Amino acid sequence: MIEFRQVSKRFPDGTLAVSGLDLVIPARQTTVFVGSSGSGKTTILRMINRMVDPSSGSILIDGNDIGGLEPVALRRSIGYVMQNSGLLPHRTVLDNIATVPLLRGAKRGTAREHARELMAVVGLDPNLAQRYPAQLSGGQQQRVGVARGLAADPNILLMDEPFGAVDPIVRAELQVELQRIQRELGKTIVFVTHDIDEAFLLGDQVALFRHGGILAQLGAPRELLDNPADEFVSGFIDAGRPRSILR
Amino acid sequence: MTWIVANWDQIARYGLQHVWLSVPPIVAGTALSIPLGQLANRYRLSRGVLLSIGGILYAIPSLPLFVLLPSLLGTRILDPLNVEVALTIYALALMLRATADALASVDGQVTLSATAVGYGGWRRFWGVELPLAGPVILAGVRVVSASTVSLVTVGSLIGVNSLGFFFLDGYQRYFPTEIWVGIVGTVVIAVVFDLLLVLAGRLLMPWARPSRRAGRATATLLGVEAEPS
Repeated sequence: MIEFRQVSKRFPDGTLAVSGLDLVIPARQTTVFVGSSGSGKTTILRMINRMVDPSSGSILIDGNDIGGLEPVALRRSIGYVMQNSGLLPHRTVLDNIATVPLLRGAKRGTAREHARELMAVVGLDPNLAQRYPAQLSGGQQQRVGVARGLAADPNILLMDEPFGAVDPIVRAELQVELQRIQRELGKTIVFVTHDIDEAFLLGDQVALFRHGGILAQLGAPRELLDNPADEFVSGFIDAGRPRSILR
Repeated sequence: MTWIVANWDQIARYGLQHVWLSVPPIVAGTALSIPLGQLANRYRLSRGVLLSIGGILYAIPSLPLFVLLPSLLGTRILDPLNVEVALTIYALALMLRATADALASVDGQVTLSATAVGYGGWRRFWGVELPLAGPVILAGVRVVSASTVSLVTVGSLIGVNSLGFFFLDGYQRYFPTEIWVGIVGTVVIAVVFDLLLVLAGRLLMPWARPSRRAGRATATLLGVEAEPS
């Protein structure tokens, strides 16, 4: 369980990105942060692995305040998948997947063997193991990114618009694949997107943010759809409505 | 031709000396450019100051520098160290900007992602930023290598001999063959160094080789335009 208590973030340039956020993210479920640019969703996500530290308030993982944890060790214990995969261009697919176990001091052989298993989990052709990221398609890169996020078997997986840069067909494939993986592994997934359809498809609960990191509504997709808290929420949902899968 | 055969021993000895004089400045200049290049990128002020100093250093004529260095370093006038230090200064002056630009050109998304998965600062520099800056740094080293091999010859004027000896001697004796031996020998060394650097780049950075499948991403990394596929 991840808990935000009265979390605010003001950047050095004065922008208030998050203000007074209280939020509970339940374990072993998918929570989707959705909102337009400037809604602070990525900033809030990055606070969970201390890529960004809050200006005030605290964040707890399973009851422990992460403010007292060493950031680098914390990050190695949390999976992270980002847009455009964020893979290391100079490492093979296999070594990219093995990145975190290797950082944590695993033996190269063991880490690579495990990475091979993960390639199967995310549906990657084993023949791609020795390729470099630039030699893969966008969809394949994202699969490698997901495998890397899972490699150290973290409880928490943070996904920052992971499917934002692939074409709609590949995105649909990846979404289905992620649902399958989640059914098998049951991670605590925090997923950021600006696409309300994606949020409703993947989220057990959806957190919709308005400008300035203010939580507009939190609930299951059905709740947001049936009982939007205000006009902002219904407006945001309607904007994506014609294509909505819950129509 | 007869002259070359008759003097082969001396040509080989000066050729080898030429190689030994060239290598340390190339290596030292490159190595020093890494921390200084990183420092240059850190602050706006340090970048301005360091890159300006680099530019000024490169503008110092080599012969006066060779002559001046013994008094600054406390070395003897014929000490090869004078030439080594002078050439290291030139190598560094050229490499500083190349390395700073190479490090600055590393994709911010990649370093961000490395941080996100748990690279600490030090490890990220050596494991991610420096390797990714490699192709651009290598391009700089190739220029420095050629320039150093050529500048080594100037040392002959102050008695630190290399293939440059043959230009001087040949000039003084009005003997073109000997001058040509010096020039061709110097060019051969420069070309061999360049080939070795390219080969080392291929071996150390296999990911940077543009392949048919690699397409634009790799090509951009190398700073060249992708071929239309």
